[in-house]
Amino acid sequence: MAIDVQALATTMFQAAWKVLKEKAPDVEGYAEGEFKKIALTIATIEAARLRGQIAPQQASLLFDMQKSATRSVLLCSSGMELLAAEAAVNAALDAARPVINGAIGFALV
Amino acid sequence: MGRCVFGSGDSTHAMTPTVPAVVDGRSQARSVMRETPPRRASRPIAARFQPALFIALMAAWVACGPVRLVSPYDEAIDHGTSEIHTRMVAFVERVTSLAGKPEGTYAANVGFYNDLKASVATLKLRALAQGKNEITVALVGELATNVDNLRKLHESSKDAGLPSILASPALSAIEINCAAIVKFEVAKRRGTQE
Repeated sequence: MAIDVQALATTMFQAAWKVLKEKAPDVEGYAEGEFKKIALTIATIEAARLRGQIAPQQASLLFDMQKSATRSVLLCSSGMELLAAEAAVNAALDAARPVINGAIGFALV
Repeated sequence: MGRCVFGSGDSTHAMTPTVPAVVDGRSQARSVMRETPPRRASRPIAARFQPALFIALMAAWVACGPVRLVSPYDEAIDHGTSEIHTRMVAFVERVTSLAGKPEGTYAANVGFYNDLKASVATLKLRALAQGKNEITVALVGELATNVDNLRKLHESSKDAGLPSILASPALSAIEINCAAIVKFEVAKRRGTQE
């Protein structure tokens, strides 16, 4: 049975998006695009395996490579989440600056 | 209840009682030992300095510059990854065109894998040298894993070399590895500029 690329990409993306949408909403387009590529590649590997063009050991290596690619997408998304948190903390500190200077009476910070 | 002791009854770390101690030998001895300079006078001073202390701490915090949860942008990682990607694409293009020929076999191209492994190891060393860079280190680790997987694929096909049916999905995964590293590094640079 052939893999439905669209369904696989959607399943992968939706599973990841449950976590990412709260913490790193900016990565939606990136994650969705990369999961589509991975799903398409998995379908290509499966088709080649069914046609006997690649050995089981080679198919296994190729699937491992897609797993690594998936981990990279998720790691990058986690990094984006950290960068967003960093930006939020620094924005809060910038907002505190005039309050501190005002309380002290001169431009200390 | 003649005394108020926090912690175990016989502990020497018991805090100063707030009510008079029971008059017996043991308790008296304790209360003499606990006669320390009166704290009552220092409390209002501390309370008076609390807002100033808070402002001073906040000022010190803000004056220390922006908070960093992730290492800053590293041009060497950005350019190094892009260069590895360029070499990979050119190599795969060349060996797939040579598939089935002696020049396209693993044995004829083992040197490329050794060079590439060294380049990725250098990239990882660079990423490790910076603090708060765990994500980039892990991303480079994924790239290293997939470079090794490509080598194993090439080696497994023996005299057939690296045909397109193997190379294409492998390269697709490696491109995703490289894109993730570059994307994250570029995002760090944007964060720095903002």
